Amino acid sequence: MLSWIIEFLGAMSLFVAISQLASNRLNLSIKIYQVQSIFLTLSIFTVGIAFNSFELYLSALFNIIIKVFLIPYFLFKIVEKIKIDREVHVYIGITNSLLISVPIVIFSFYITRKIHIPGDIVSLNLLPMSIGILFIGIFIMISRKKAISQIIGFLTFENGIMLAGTSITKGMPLIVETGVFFDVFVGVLMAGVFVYHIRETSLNIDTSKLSNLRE
Amino acid sequence: MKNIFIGIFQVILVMLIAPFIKTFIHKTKCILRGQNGPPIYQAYLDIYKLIKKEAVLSPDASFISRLAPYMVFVSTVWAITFLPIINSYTLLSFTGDIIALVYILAFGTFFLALYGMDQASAFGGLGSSREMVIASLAEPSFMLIIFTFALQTDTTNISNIFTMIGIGQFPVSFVFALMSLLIVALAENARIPFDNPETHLELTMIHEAMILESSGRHLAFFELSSYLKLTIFLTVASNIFIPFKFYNKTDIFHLAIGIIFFMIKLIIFALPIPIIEMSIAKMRFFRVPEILVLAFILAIISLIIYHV
Repeated sequence: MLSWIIEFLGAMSLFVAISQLASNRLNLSIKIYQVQSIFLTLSIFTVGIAFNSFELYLSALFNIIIKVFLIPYFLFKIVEKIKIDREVHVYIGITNSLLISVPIVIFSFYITRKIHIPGDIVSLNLLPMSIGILFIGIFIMISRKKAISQIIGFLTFENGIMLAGTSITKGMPLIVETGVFFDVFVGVLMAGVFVYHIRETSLNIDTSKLSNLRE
Repeated sequence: MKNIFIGIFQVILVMLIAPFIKTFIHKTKCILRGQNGPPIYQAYLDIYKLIKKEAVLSPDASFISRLAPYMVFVSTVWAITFLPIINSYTLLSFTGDIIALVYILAFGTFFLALYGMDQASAFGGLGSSREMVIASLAEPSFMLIIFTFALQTDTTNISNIFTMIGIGQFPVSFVFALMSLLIVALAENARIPFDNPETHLELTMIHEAMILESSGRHLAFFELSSYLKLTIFLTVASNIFIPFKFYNKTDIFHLAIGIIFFMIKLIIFALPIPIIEMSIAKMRFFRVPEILVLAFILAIISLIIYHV
């Protein structure tokens, strides 16, 4: 029953990652990322219950503070501050990118089928699903034009790594986890500052316009 | 003989409960908004009032306008005769399966679209064309969801599917099917991200645009059919995702337990609908295909995850 719940929460995070591809507003994207982080936190917490490990509880606590509250709050503030139109601009249209997500998920199930993981494992289906989240995050990074969408793609990708990490190990050492969390948080802060400067110099945050030369 | 009685009893039960579910959703929405809302028996009063009134038809109307309300109602009731509710025996379980259920519902949609175009009103044609776009996009995902269940249980008979899936035994791929079914149900029943069921005379209306010209008992049949359609979707979802064994006994005690369980399941599955309607605004019509593609994608992924 417990492993079923963990798989359910992992599947919900994959579902939220796919619906991230369907969002057409920056604010909606950030909210979807928030929901995905909530499912990730619940999943880590349930793995913690399964292995009765204190480090995983602590990791879930960090998750809820940083990924559910701090990072979305910061991203909302950037969106408010740079006063751009809130549309998501894409290289590949929403319908097409949704259709591409199917081969991505099939591929992630295909490549993880042969992997043999020694030791007791909490759930077999969680690894392919987290690899799927990871690939969808990368796909968001390459298919969106605006810098904030690319940050969200990076964060989705990071959530996938986190889920993969907890699914095949019984939680990484606490010092590593803490390092990763602050790495992500500082990375997002720096990316936010960069976004602000891109906006200052080229008057929008469309990264495809960065190749135009200006005085 | 006893089985036939049970089958008829189930059809009557659904027809009695369907208006209650509609009012329940409306009432929950009103409470979430901070309003009092209508009394819980409002839908019954509406149906009663409409049935008493005479139907007025425009002079341009052909025989289709006289026929369509009854055809829509009959097709919906026909779909219910396939649907096990408190007992695995249904009136038509020997002849049809879950694929027939989908296309019998589509038969009703067809007559609804014809009715919209028949009376030569400007809104009706618009409503029919929109309804057909949504129905044609929602149908493939609904079929794929059903194939997921059919592959899992090796049968397409509805009663067998419902009895073979036990509590907590279904695989995780059903989560995606559930999400897909939620989107498809909202689209097919004209709920808020796709269409607003509460407003008349809005330029973007879909379901209301088709039945704008109807009145009296014709309108009563259309309304009752839309309540029944919503209840059918909720019943399919709840019987698959909160399954409990059908007792297949006909004494009063087991019937009462079955009815109580059925009500609880319907209420659990009806609760997300007002919450979604409160939190999302109605979408532009050209965004609807994107969301329906999302449902299609989720259904495919559900099918794949079960197989890989």
